[in-house]
Amino acid sequence: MEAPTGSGKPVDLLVEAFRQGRPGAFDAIVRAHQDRVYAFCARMLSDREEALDAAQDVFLSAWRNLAAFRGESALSTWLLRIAANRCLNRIRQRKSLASREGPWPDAGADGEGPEFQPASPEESRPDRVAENREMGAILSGALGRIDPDSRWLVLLSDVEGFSYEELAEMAEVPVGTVKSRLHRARMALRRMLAPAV
Amino acid sequence: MDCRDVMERLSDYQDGASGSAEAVGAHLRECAGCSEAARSLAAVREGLRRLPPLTAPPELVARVREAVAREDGGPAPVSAGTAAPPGARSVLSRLRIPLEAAAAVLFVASIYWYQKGSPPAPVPQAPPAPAGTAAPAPETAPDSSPRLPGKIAKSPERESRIAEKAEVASLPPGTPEPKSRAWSPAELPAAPAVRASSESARIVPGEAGPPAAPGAPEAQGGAAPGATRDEAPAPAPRVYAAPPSRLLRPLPYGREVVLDVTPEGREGAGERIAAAARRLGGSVERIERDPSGADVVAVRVLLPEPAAPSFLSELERIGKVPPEGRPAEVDLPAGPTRGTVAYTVRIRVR
Repeated sequence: MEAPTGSGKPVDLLVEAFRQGRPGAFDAIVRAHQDRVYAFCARMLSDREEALDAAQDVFLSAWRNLAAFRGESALSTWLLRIAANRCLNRIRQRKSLASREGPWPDAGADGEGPEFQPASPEESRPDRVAENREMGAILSGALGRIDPDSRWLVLLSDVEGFSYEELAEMAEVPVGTVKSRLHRARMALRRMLAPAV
Repeated sequence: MDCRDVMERLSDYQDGASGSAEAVGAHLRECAGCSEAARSLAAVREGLRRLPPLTAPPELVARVREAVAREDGGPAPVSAGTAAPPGARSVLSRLRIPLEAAAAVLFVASIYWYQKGSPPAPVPQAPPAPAGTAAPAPETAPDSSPRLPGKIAKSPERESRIAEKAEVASLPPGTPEPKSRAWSPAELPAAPAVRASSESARIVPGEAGPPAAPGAPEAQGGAAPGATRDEAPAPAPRVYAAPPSRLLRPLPYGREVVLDVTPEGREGAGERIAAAARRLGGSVERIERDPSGADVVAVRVLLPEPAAPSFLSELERIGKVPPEGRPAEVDLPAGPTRGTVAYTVRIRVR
């Protein structure tokens, strides 16, 4: 999908084709990135229907702004950054409406305090955990209970393989902050998944 | 390093950070609790890396297409990729109204030019009448309703009626008139063309004003007293040639100039006027003679606009242009086409 240029900067061929107005270029972009964007949205929102809406929003926003895409990062990085923002907005809207999810526990000023919702007693029971044979399903359920601002970092770091530096640039925070947030989120997942792992 | 410090550094340790890796490693070898925590943390991270891939539902592409089409203001394209980039769309949107306006202007202009440039009626060249037999008569308008010249040419009754009354004189035998032009009935207007019409560039009426009674004072631009007008069945209103376009040429073309000549200088005056016009790059459209055919009473010439002053000067050499015979707008271009001027020089004997 990417081709090197004389300056060493990779050029997304689909983006170039889209800018040149070639038929089918944006269709190809959607098809190339839809699974990755949708999976991220689904794990962020824990709702596949809402994830579908969010993914649609992501690609529509990309269509609007692709002409201004400077190519300083990969198109997938750009799309996932849009997806993170969209998903966080949706979660904040949920919170404001006090709908499905309860309030997220805020981290203390010193960074301590609960940063995840502990598993309900029902879900932490060994027999209940034993029923969830699928590690992916367990992890996905646990991911849905950690702080959204840390969740997207975990997804992009441990699932998508982004580096700490990339995440720091995306989150516009220092690398150390990214590392500490990630560690707390991982430890929270470990505690939630302790019966299974 | 206690267990709490180790727990805070487990991620860095597993990422291979070299800061306190040795101390953390040593603690983990000795502390079963921290070692178990490290193992479970690694399992979580490994589990995240091995999360099963999720596949987007097939309707996502279609939904994106529809959303893009709605954004683009049109129906959903067959392929989302056919949608123009936002930049191109905005350019098209900006150009749509100007393009529509330009199309409207072109449409109106095409109608205008079609009317202006519609092919003229065929102009038959009237055969020259034998010398001495031509009997000029004032033209009369059979009706007062304005008509398009094209329709005039198509009316046989009209043609025959005009042909009976309008005659074109020719020069005496032996006088070369290679460029003189006879006016055919088809070129004559059906009515006093006080307004322009589209195909009247060739229409030049020759007569103006009612016939003057013998001995009566002449009206400005009227017929020369020597010209016999008793045969005119009715007073003919002054007929102007209409310009080719109402918009571009709202004024009738052709100026009437009266030239007073002495009885001695009358002979050959018409030929001298015609020769002067030709010498200045013009042409002679018509020469009118008296009923006997001996004397020229009027000469109709067509000149390039720059030659108009020179032609008027030439007239002063042939005779005298009285103040009343020289209209104020005599120098204004009034020819059938742009940049030309037409004069009907009427010769009076004084």
